[in-house]
Amino acid sequence: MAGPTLSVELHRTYSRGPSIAAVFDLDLGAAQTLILFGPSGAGKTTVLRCLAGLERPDGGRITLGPETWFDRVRGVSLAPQRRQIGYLPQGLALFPHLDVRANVAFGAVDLPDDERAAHVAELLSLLNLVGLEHRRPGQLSAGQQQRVALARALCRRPRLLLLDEPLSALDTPTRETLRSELRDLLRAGGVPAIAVTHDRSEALALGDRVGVMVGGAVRQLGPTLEVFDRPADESVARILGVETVMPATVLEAARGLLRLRVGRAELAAVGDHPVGASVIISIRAEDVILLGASVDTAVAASARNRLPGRVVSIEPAGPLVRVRIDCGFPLVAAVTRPAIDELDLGPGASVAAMVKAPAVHVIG
Amino acid sequence: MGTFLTVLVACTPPTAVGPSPAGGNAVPSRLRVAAASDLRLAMDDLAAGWTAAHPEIGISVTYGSSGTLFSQIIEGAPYDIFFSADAELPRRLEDAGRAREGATRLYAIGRICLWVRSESSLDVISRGLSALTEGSVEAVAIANPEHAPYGRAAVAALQAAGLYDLVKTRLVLGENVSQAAQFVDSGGADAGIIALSLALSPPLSESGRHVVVPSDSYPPLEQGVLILSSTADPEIAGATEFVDFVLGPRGRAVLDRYGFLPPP
Amino acid sequence: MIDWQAIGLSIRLAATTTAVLVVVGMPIAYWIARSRRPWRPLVEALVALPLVLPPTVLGFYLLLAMGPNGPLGALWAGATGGSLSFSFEGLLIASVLYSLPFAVQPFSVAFAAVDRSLLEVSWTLGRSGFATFLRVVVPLSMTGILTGMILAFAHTLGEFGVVLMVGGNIPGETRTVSIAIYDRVQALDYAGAAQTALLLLLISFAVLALTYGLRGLTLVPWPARR
Repeated sequence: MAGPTLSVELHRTYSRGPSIAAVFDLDLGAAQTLILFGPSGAGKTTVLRCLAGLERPDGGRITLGPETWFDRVRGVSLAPQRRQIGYLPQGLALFPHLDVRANVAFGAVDLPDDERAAHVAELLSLLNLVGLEHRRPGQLSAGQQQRVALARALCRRPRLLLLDEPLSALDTPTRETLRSELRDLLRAGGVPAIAVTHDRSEALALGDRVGVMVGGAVRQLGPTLEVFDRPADESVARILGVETVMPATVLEAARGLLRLRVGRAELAAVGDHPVGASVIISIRAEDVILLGASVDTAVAASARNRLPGRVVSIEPAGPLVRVRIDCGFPLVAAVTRPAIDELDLGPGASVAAMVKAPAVHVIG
Repeated sequence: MGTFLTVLVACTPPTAVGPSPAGGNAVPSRLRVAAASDLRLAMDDLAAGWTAAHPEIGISVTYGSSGTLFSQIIEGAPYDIFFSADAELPRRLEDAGRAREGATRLYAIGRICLWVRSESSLDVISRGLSALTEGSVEAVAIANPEHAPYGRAAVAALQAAGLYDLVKTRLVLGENVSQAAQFVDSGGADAGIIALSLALSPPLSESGRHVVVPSDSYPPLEQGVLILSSTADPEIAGATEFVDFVLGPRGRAVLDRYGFLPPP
Repeated sequence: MIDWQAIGLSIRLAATTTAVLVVVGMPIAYWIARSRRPWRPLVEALVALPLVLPPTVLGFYLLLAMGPNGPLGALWAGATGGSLSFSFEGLLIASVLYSLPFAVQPFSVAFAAVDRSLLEVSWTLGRSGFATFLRVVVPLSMTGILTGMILAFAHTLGEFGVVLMVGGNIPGETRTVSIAIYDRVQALDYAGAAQTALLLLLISFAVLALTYGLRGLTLVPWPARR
């Protein structure tokens, strides 16, 4: 369903450091999440803050449908108050002197009292915060804080949510739990969102679409799996990482071990997902061991995954070589040059790949 | 430059001790008196005597050196009556338009004395100012001659006695003549040339001894009083009556007690 | 004999000065806390001047300005017919200027400590800059605001030099406690001076103890995410 288009074209130059030139369009009709992905310093946060109206680009134009948010030539720069957006900064910035209810209700000043109370109650219920109304932010868990921040942002019925590194401040176990929770919350909220992250798993889990930023420019923008699968150029590929990224389905799940269907093959992995769930797997190229055609893949070894296949292409990548294999799904391995010679690998050669179950990274 | 000096002088501290308006609560009017510091004790008596007879008009007094009070009046200080230690400053206020021409009236002739604490070994009674030549005298307090008439009188007396060059490096200058007296009383100075009116009453009369400095050794301290008028309030209730009281027999009697001579 | 009138006047002056400094000082402090203009150091230096200037210098310029020939004095005389110098109102202006850094510096330190992202979220939620100041910055700066108020109050209570210059020591109008003590000494009434001085010492000590006590009640700061 088509909705208003967010059209972004902005440049920002810093006296020391890279300049940022971001151009992209986003259809806000569907409640989709766009991930701005790239390494630190790529300018992602700057773009987000310019969209929020907290920073002013040096040049360009930002429009949402018929509204002009920023136009350098015509001297327009709409204040953040008037853009009707929700902004979640990196630390969430919950108001420490207000309780949960007051935090959530903060933006709803212009509603009459009874309407405001009803709206706030609805949000608290939607985001599973009932019973926590009178707690202060300092008394909440990280997950609860995230929900309060979202509820507060949603209170004004924003047209766009902007999230800055939503999970980066958390330790790893919490981050993984909250990642899926955040994805569900964003979907339940029904508001299009743009989130900035440098974490690959976050991009894969949260993003319906991903825009890869390299050196201050958006190099590629498209559906997440598509971008990861077919990076537009060398620099994008390097940012995304030389990895295999594939959709998969859970066939079996028992005692923390999974059996997945990936393409035409089956993989063993470690995880906790229910049977039938659609997940994404990624495998680092460095984790793939190649065995020569003469080796019997049934040899006793701890790796659970033995995948016979054929070499599709070989590309040098510095001291390593990137080998693309078709073993029921496209798999990328990174091995050393001498190994290539030893195994006598070339396009079309038979080869077997060995991957440990824990190296199959499952993102649900 | 003149403004600078005027303002600086106006900034030296006057102090006020005054009986509160009689009755304590809302008094219909109040006279604000600026009085030279030599009148510190005498004016308290005069004001008390006046207030007893006229309880409906309160008097508040601010003391200071005549020069300081003059500068303050120039800078807008809201006094009603100015009792100076000389006659020249009030006349200059007339010239500056702060009062009617010729309104200054003389109310007393002041005198200076040399005062030391009781425990001092200086024989001021028989030796007079020449006692200051003693080696034990390290600091002699006088009022600042820049803006206090009593200080100028002290300098003139020292010069007449041929002692000024000897003593001038040991002079300690008080902002006004009562501060000079305080310096000696507290032990900061060994002796002081101060107003006779301060030495004749407690506490100084009991904590030390004095000798009057001969009147012919300095120009007479003709002290003048001036009712200040502004275009806004030309008739200040009670001011003329109070000045008449001071100049009259009852005021005269009080001033006599404090060693003031009647004006010519 | 304690000069109660002088004590009452001093407290009235200190309280009024503090009230004025809250209204005048908070906007200045907020600007200093958040501005990135290149001339900010000039403003900070101006505000801090009374800390290093001898009271005679400030008093000199103030007396010039507030006298009947000065700009402020003439304005005042035109409006009210009275004199600004040697009046309570003149003292008030002088005290506000002289105690300005004692209020503005703690205010601006407290304002600057408020996390900028809290302000940004408030703006994106539709609150104006002023509403954000009232509802986010002020509540989170209360300790600093109170410190500034108490320091300004205590500093004004103890003022001597500027009051001397500008006030003229008129009983009931400009004779504050510090002047009254000085005056008692000149009148050789050491007992009176000692009593009044002791009272001022006790009041000042109580005010300072209150300040340090209030600092213990800091608001829960925004915790780092776990």
